[in-house]
Formats: sequence, structure tokens, C-alpha cells
Amino acid sequence: MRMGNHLSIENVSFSYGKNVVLDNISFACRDGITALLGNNGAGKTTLMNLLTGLKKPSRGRIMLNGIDLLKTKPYPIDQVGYLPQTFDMYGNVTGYDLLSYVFDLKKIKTNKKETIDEIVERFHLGPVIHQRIGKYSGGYKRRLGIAQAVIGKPTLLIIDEPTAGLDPEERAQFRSYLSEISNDAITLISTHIIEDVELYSQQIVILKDHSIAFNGSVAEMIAESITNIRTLETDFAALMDLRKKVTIIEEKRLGTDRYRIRFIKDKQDIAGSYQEKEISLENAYIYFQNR
Amino acid sequence: MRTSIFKTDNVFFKHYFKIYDIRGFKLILTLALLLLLFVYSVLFPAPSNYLISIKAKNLLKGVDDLYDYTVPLLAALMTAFAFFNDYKNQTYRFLGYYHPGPFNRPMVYRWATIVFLFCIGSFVSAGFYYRNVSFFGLTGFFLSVRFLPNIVFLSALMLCITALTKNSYAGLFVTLVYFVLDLFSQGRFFKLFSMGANAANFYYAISPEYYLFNRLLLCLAAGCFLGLACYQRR
Repeated sequence: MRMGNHLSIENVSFSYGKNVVLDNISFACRDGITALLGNNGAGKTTLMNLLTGLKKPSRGRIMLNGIDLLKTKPYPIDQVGYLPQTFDMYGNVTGYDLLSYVFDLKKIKTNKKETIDEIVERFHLGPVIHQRIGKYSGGYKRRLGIAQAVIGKPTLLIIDEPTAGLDPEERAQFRSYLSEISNDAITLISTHIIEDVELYSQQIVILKDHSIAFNGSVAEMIAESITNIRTLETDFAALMDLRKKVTIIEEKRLGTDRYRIRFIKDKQDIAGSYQEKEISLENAYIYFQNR
Repeated sequence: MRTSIFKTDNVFFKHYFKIYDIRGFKLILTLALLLLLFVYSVLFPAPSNYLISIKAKNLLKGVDDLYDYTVPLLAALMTAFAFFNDYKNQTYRFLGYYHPGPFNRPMVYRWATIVFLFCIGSFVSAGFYYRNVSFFGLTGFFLSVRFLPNIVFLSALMLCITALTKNSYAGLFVTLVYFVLDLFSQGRFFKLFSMGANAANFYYAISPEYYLFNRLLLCLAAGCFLGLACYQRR
């Protein structure tokens, strides 16, 4: 029976001078997609940089399959695949040459040509692989980015904002790639596009104010937030008043002077409000960001 | 671990002309510039009374500016060109991940390739430039070698500012400001850190010690600039 991979982030803190970016972060994850959610400035990219060895935490440790990632010298690039948010390469390098370079840097033992051909086929890069990267569309560039990250079958994949800048069709395609590759690797993706995580994520970690606001599954996230979210149908005048009293997480116009709002339940319930049977993951996310 | 580092270095050299210098364009451009310099030096040599003039504390700016300022500027501009795309589209982040460790060794090698070629080219061309003064004797050797700190210094300054600010234009701006101020002040503005020690005749006009200290300082500063540029802050 396959044991699977295990990543644990233990009491990790990071600061720039006196500015705390991450404060005592701890969580663990296994094979599959773990989505790291958080508003801009929450510390997602910093955490990614710590995991990839680009930054050192002020305290704490990161263990991958029992090995301290930060104490391993040199950093094990063969074990960890990384796709940065702003993945780009010199425009006059071909996709094939880049994959060949990464293959050699990772010191992969398999047959080079076969491995690259397999990756090219898997990510449908065939039509462009011998073209200069400068000619690639955003979608192809992102595919090449994920191809270089997964080459050599790393046990940990770190992907920063995987679908940023892609059109809806490319995003759907990219999500299916992520779903496929995460079967045998811990795939940690940082995003603020809820749609990216709803279908495929096994685990969600929400960062807020430099700490973890939530760590669990999609179902747990919804279950924990649904009891604290109320729905109310109201008119415009009452809505203006409610905006001052409660934290509204969704507003929808139903008619000329009719609105349906969702808000975070306060100590005192508001007359006429009720708990719905279903809420969206986006509602749950906003709840965790505002509670 | 040593073996591992050198293996990674081998990978860098193996892929150099497919990743960092496609089809050797930068190399060819460097060699073309050095060829032009060589041709110029052959066609327009320094006057034969050069040594007598500088011993009389004359400033031979028209003669020495070529190797004091023009050649180092070309080396610095080639450095800017070689690293321009690293910072234009944040490629440096991606490449930095694949070269873990306290020093970005590929950056050192890329810089050293340009500087090495310019140093060799400058040394040989200057040998021909000063051939009427001394043709490849000991004096000729010293006349040619005295310009090398300028090449190392200015290109290291360019790399340092570019790498620290992650912006090629900032590197160009600071380097050009330094260059212009030093050139037009005839070495008075930066004094011991001036590149114009030969053109401003520091050796005879001030003192041999001052001149040698200036050359040494430029080399030390270049080492510091290179260290700052290539040190990966984790």
C-alpha cells in the first residue's frame, strides 16, 4: 500500500524587521491539492517563498516526508517543483531547451528525451515546444511553467496563483492539469480565485492577519460558516441601515426595491433573517475573512 | 556537496548557449566591439612621447580616455545588456530557485565571461595602442594592465545596482551618472574612487602611492559590488 507524502509546517514565523508577515503558522497536508487562500498581503506568497527556500523563516521548521526542508543543503529542487506567480523566461529560449535545462539542474536519472516528450504530450505543448517562449500565449506559458515544475515527479508542488491572467477556458484546462498531477504529489496552490479550489481541493488553509483563520476541507469550511451566516430580504432603506449594523457578505437585487442580503450573524439576530441550507464557498471564505 | 555544486555548474556551462546567450549573440557582439577597439588601436596609436609628457605632469586625456573610460563603459553596457531580460520579466526569481545556495554562481559566471573578454581584449589592444612607447616590454605590460581595474569596477557597479534594485534602468542610470561625473570632473569628484587615474595622471600629478591605492580600491570595490550582487538574501 502506498504511504503517500506528508508535509508539515511547524510554528513558522517570518518578519521583515518589525513587520510580522507570518506569525506561528502550523498545518500539515498530504497528497492532493491544498489551497492556500487569503487576501492580498495575508502572507501567501511569503509562505510559498519559505517553502521553496527563497526565504528563511525567523523560526519554525518545514518537514517533507520527515526531512527538514530548510536544513537540507543544497535545497532539494529535485523533490520540490515550483511555479512562481510571475513565471517567465528569456523570450528567445525555446520551451524544449528550458525543459532540458531544468531536467539537468534537477539531476533526474531517467532518459531525458523520453521524459521531456512525455511531459510535452501530457501538457499538450507539442505545437509550440520548439518555438521561442516569447511567442507563447499566456495559456501555453502557464502550461510550460507547470511542465517544468512537475518534471522529475517531485513529491511537493508549490504553485503560486496558478490561473492568474488566464481566460475561462484555459483556467478550466489548467485546473484539470492540477487535479491530475496532484494524485501523487502534495500540491500546494496559492490563490484568491475561489472557483479554482472549489472542485479539486482536498484541503483549504485560510490566512488572515498573518495567522491561520481556517484549516480543513471544503465541507468543513461551509459547515463551520453556514451557522453564522443569515439571509434576509429587505428594501433599500432598510438595507442602508443594515450596512451600518452588520457585515454583509453578499447583496443581490431581486426587484425594483427588493434586495436579498447575506450577512454575518451578530450576537443579536435580526428579525426576518434565516439560515439557508446552502451557501457558496465564496460566502464561507468571506465569513472567515470578516468574522 | 562540493561535487553537487560543480555538477550544477557543469549544467550551467552545458546550457549556456541555449539559455543565457542564444547562438552566442552576446559573445559575438563583445568580440566585434573588441575587434573595433583593436583596429582603432592599430590605426591610431598613442604618441611616442607619451611617457615624457606624463612625466612632465601633463594630462593626456585625449590619449588615455579611450581605455580609462570608453572601454569600461562598453563593458558595463554589455553587462547591462546581458542581464537586462533577467529583470524585465522577473526571470531572476525563477532562475534563483534553481540555483539555491548563498551565492548566485551563474550570475558570477555570466558577469565574469564579459569582464574576462574585455580585460583580455583591452590588454592586447592597449599593447598595440602604446606600441610607439613600448612594444610588449615590461613598460608596455604595465601601460596595458593599468586599465583593467576600470573595466572590472564599472561593470561590477552596473551589475550590483541592477541586482539590488532588480531594475536594469536603475543600474544604467547610476553607472552613467558616476561615469559622467567622473569624466567631466577629471577625477576630482570621486578622488580615490575615480576611474580616470590614468587620464588625470594621478601617478605623476599626485603621487605613485595615491595612484596605486586608487587602482587597488577600484578592485576591492568591484569585489564588494560583485558580492552584494550575487549574494542571495534568504
